Amino acid sequence: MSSNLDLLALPLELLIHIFALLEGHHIVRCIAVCSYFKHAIENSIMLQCLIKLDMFGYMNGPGREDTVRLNQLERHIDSWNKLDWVESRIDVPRWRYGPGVLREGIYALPPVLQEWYASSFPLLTEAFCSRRGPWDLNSLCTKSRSIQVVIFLWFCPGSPGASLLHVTSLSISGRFPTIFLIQMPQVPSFSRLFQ
Amino acid sequence: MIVSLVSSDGKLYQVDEAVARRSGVIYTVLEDIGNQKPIPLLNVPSHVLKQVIEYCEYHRTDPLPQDAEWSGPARAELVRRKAVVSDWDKKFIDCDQTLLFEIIQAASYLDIKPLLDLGCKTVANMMTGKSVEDIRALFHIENDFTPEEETAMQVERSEFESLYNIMIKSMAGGVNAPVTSLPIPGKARRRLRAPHY
Repeated sequence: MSSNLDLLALPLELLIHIFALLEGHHIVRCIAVCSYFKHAIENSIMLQCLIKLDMFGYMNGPGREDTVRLNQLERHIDSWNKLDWVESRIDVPRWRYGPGVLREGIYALPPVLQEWYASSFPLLTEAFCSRRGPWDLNSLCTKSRSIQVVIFLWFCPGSPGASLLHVTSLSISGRFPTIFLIQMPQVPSFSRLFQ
Repeated sequence: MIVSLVSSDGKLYQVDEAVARRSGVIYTVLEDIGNQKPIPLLNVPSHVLKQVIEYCEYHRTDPLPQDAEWSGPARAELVRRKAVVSDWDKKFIDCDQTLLFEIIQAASYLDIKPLLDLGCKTVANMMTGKSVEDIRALFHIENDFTPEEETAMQVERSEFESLYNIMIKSMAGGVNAPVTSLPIPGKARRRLRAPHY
């Protein structure tokens, strides 16, 4: 053992063990310190998982163990990735809602679709299935007659001035012609559901 | 029963068997070949061994960790959550960096899990909340990235952190939290899918 030992002289597994005690966003910061750290973090599956959990706010999520939460997160992401997205933007001049009334969830879903949604996104449904929001759905439907279902995915930022909404449409089998997914311009916070 | 331990520089230490058995390696040696000869510890110099023995003597009455508890994926998480470090431990581990890393390495070599976790936790606490430059200065690490690599990483990191901060804000403030910068959802979603860089 050398007399002037420093952090870089530690064996890789000890370094990873130290990183694993950090929170995800601190691990990400360590990547930029030096190439040895970068190598250690990028090649450790465990650290990647920790970063991912933290990024999605799953650190304090359901399940006692990291692995359980990771499974749930993977399943959730998979569900969204399987969908066939077509992205577009529509301009909604006056979007009538009070600040903060729209929430992540599904609104105005027919029962069959609720089932599909429940099986695809198990984490979201319990709280928010088929809640009707106080927005003006009719005016939205007159813009495009093909709207069957509206799913609000992102949070409403609380400001009616945000008029440009991000709209994603997708088709599922023959049964449901079109679903429009309207995203409020903000990142999701799934973890809020677990608190 | 007294067990004799020999450090890498040839110094002899005599400790109680109960103290020596806190090390997984010495435990196995005692079980397998018995307590007849001094046990040579080739990777542990005397000044480190002295510290390790001090730790083990203080913690001699603690229950030995069960195997199931100390292995598997839940282990790091367990340590992360168990945030309470006793005052004696804090004072014990409050030493210069070189000794700290030597203790960590010795604890890993001798298989003393609580000491290993104490050391790692201390290093992790030193890193928590520090900027990249601070970490480099703290551990005397040279920046060995090329300028191009560094700017590329900085961009990625600031994107990650701005997304992360928005997430934290929306968690803390609920739905009504004010949003100052708006990421494009499509791009943001794709980035969220693959946070490895």
